[in-house]
Amino acid sequence: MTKRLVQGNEAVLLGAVRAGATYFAGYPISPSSEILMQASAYAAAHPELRFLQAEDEIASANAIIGASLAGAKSFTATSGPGFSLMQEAIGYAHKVGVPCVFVDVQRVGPGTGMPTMPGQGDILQTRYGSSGDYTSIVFYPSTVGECFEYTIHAFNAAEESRSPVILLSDAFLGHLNEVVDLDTIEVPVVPRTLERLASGSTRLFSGVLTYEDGEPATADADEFIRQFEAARLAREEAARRYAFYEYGWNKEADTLVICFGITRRISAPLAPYFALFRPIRIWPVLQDELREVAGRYRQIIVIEGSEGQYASVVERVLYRDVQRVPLLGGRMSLEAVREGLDRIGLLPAELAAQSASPVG
Amino acid sequence: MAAKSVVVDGIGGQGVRVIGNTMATLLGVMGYEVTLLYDYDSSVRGGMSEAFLKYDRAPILNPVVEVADVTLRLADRGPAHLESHHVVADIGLAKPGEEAEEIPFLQLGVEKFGRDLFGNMIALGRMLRLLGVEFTEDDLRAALPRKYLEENVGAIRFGYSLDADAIRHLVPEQAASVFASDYAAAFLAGSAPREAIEQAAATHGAPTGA
Repeated sequence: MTKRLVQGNEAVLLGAVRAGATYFAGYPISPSSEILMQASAYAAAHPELRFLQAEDEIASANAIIGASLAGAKSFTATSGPGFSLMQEAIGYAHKVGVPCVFVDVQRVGPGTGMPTMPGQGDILQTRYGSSGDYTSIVFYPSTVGECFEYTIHAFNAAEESRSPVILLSDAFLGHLNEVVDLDTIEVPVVPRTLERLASGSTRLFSGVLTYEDGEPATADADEFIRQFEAARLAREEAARRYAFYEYGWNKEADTLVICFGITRRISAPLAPYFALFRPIRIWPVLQDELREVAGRYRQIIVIEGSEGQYASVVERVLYRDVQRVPLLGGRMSLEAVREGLDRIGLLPAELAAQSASPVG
Repeated sequence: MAAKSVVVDGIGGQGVRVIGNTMATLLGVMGYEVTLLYDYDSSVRGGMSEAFLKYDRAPILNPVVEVADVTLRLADRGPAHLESHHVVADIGLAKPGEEAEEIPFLQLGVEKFGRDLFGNMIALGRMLRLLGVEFTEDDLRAALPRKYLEENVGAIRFGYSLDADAIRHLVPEQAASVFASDYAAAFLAGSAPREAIEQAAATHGAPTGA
């Protein structure tokens, strides 16, 4: 293949195919719908990918869980409101240990909100959306090429952790077209780890806590803790192999900027003035890496498309205050970043003077 | 070169995506790094539809256009804060005080190529001319769909062939406005009325119908 114009949402689908996905179920919702539409078109030409447009997001989520248990590498794609509907299924998939991938192309919420405008308000929903104690592995790319690359990683991490993995995107990243050659992006594919159905052994897929023989263990705290610890350790061990982040820009600056996804792209002109830490693995939070890097800087600014969801995580991890630059209402632009920096008194003079000039 | 920035400002159904995709594909064929970002309202009909395109020889970092080198305005729905060094607008869409030209794209599409939709390709050709993008016939054909290939090539070539003088005479009011402006400038500089008329006519030609 040669370089060609590829859309972020298309790159997610192609990454899933490269990772060996054989089942997609979904329900259309902006700004993720291109993934469903292209999965449909791809499946029509490639019957090895089974496609279901379900009646809603709840059915979609449960369909991919069923498909995974039956032996397929499966995935779905949605946006904030649909992702909310999927939370119960995600909790079930964690309880049962089902490898599958949920793609959340974020828009401005809550509720229906601004369906085609970019937001980053699902950061905490990916961590705490379902009930009980669990941690999904979550990736958030920031280029079209990375949409492809980290979709493959998401499928790999799902297999290695035997849990649902979430790939975050946003309306701008999903609708961004870039000239890329996806064939040059090489990520080894982890083969299927879960035993297929009808392979000879008896398996029980219960959301209720049970012993291995299927008897309920609903009043056995020791059994709960044993299973909980086993699942936690499996996910932590898998997550360690996916500790992706970017540290760069002006490392000699005294202020560190943290941003991710599309905010990483629009903040690029800040490079001469600040250091950058971009978490690509959003969850589990990159605690050690963040502490090591942040310790070198006097101030920390988190630029994100929410009121401060990731900023609150950083504060908790670092035990120190951070400055917030929230980009709300879909206003993802350098101008909005400049206004935010100005509001907290950290806008570099040179950057203020550039406001009337084209920027790359 | 610094990254060049282009905005196509329209409403859903006008062909903003066709123009954006064609331009981005052409630039990609020519070996440029390109980002093309669509921003649109979720309204079923009549919502804003924007294409933000950047191209460069180096990778593009920030894909969101803040100050455009050229904006193609098919409707006035874009972000109010968006600045542009030059605006190419369909008739009646240029705003007072901005560096703009008006071209009857839809009308030309019908007159020259039989369908108003080819007006979009005429507009694309004009933008490519303004940006100084020098493409070959092979580049162009590789970037276009097979359907209506000859018409699209012809429309882009026609748009590319338009220069400032030709555009002025596509719209009589525009030519008259420029003539009047040049006349006033010559008069205020001290020329007698007849001399001022001659100077304005010599610079740009007399307005159509004059």
